Amino acid sequence: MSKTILRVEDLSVRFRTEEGVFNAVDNISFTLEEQKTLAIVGESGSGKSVTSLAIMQLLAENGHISSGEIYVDDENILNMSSSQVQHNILGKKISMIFQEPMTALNPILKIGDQITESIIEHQGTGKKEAYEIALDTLKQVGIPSPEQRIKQFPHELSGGMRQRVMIAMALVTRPKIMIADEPTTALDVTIEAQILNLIEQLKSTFKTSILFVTHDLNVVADIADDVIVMYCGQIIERGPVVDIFENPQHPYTKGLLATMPTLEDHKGELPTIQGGVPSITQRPGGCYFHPRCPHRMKKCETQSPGVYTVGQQQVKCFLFEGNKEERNDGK
Amino acid sequence: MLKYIAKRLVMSIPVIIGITILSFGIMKLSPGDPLANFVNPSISMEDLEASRDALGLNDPLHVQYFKWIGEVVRGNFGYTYSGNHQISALIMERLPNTIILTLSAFVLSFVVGIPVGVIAAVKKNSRLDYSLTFLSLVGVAIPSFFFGLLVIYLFALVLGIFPSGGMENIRAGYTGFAYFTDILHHLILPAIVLSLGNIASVSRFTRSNMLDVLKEDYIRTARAKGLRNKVILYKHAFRNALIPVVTIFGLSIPFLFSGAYITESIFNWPGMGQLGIKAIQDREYGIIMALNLITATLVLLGNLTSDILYAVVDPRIRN
Ligand SMILES: Nc1ncnc2c1ncn2[C@@H]1O[C@H](COP(=O)(O)OP(=O)(O)O)[C@@H](O)[C@H]1O
Ligand SMILES: [Mg+2]
Repeated sequence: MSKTILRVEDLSVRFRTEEGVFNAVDNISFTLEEQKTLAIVGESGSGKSVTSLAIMQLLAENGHISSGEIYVDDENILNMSSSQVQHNILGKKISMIFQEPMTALNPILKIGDQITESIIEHQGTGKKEAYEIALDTLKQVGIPSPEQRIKQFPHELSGGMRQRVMIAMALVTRPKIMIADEPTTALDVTIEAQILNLIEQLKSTFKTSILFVTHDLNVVADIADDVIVMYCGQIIERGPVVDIFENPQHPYTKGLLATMPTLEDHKGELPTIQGGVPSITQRPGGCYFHPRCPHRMKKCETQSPGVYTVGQQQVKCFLFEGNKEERNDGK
Repeated sequence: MLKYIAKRLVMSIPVIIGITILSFGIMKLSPGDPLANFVNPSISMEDLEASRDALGLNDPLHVQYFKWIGEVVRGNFGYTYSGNHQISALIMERLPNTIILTLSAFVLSFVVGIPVGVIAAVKKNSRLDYSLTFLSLVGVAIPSFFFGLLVIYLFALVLGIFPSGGMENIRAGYTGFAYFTDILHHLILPAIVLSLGNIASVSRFTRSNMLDVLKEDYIRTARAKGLRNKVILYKHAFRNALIPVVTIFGLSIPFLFSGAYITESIFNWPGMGQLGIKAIQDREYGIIMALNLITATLVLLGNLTSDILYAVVDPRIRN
């Protein structure tokens, strides 16, 4: 059995909006094992970024964690003071890379400065040593002529190169966990493939576990070990990546797979789901997915389904009501 | 970087030429004949024409312009109509005083305005922020002649800690360091009055830039790296927030220079403002033109400084 490195228990996140207070993430639980990749998949607006930012305690001002526990190395980081989290967790045990490489780097600081400051902060090394480590890491993320790049400013680098810099920045302190929130969404397809390869390769060199967030199931197939499918702030299906791809159970997961261009043969028999994710202020009653669901039943409109086990998977859907009930997540 | 500065310097040459042409044009368009004030009413038309010829007033405009500009670059702005004083001497007597006042107000605006703006942004929506917001509204809204009188009443008449006007205590005849502190003592009230509006707008501007920057993605990145709040605020946020503030460095120079006209009158400060107001009353076109030219050149220099500073703080501008 591998060791659990990150455990999220019953996490809920609320936002204050003009229309009132709403849950963006609703009682979700998951674990990330050492040196594994866990993918969180779902359409835009399903709560993936909010989940990642909640773990980093970087939620927007109008948001807060309303319940739950987040264990890193068996310690609940929600019980720590914010300066403890800053000192001991962020950038040290968990790093994060973001979707937009164009805006995620500080435009007026040199690449080298932005990488070394983490090392200096967390490892107390001198400037010179930090510089050597940074240079080395830039080499490892495949940046050509790193001696020159390290002295450049972000605007002098392409999007792909900047994302490599972000990855170098995240890994330079050798964190146990890297959260990657749509790290390739802003890149074109060939660069995307390179970055995915790089992440996959670095996972073993740096012995890091990865929480990989994406709206694109395609991306997940090659790099994930396990997959969580999110919809409206809830986990609606989870399981090992092979099972999710070969045997999707939840109508939403099936729909997501049907929209994938690589699975031509599934088209037609699995119509792509219409519409989009409702906003947090407009979530329907019952099962959140029912208005878009091709298999909806009467009770879907009023009751929230429990979680049922199907083979290796867990599915939050009444279609599997006859199966063993795992737990009743949420309402 | 040097290339950028050189480029900016070269680009300001046509602007300078434009300014001189405009100044010259306005002088030519202004009503009245420079000779009218001096000539003997009984002089014959021929003699008048002869002296016009002698003075070059009948030359084609461009010839007149080049003669004039030739003198101006040598620092000769001509003579006043009344008294025949050398204009450049009059200006040189006053200009340093105005520069002392304006520069002090300039430094004060940014040295006070920037930290106040940063504090207000960092403590957003606190009581301190609201108080600072209120004060800067007052600062922008209050007319300087009124604020000046208020300050004179309070600090000079009631409390008696500062002199009510002038630039030095002539009777004391200080020299050396005592002379310097005497001027400083006289300078404090007018510098505060002149900079008040600017302090207020610089602090507002800094606050809003700082708040915008704090919402940027790279600030989130810095937080995700577990950096300390101080590092995030000063290394990552403040330096970016400063970039737009630099642009108002240049803009504030003409603002302070024109403000100095009023402040100098209130405090009896012997600067160009006093000279200028008197020149306008006396229709001393030569002085007015000289002042215009000097002010325009200072504005240009201010903008140039802004542009250069912009490149210093923002690496994206340099190439
Ligand atoms: N600061 C916020 N205030 C209000 N609502 C928010 C805020 N941030 C995110 N949300 C809402 O939470 C939901 C989930 O968003 P997010 O996690 O960003 O989705 P995604 O899965 O695309 O990353 C969305 O409906 C979004 O509008
Ligand atoms: Mg997102």
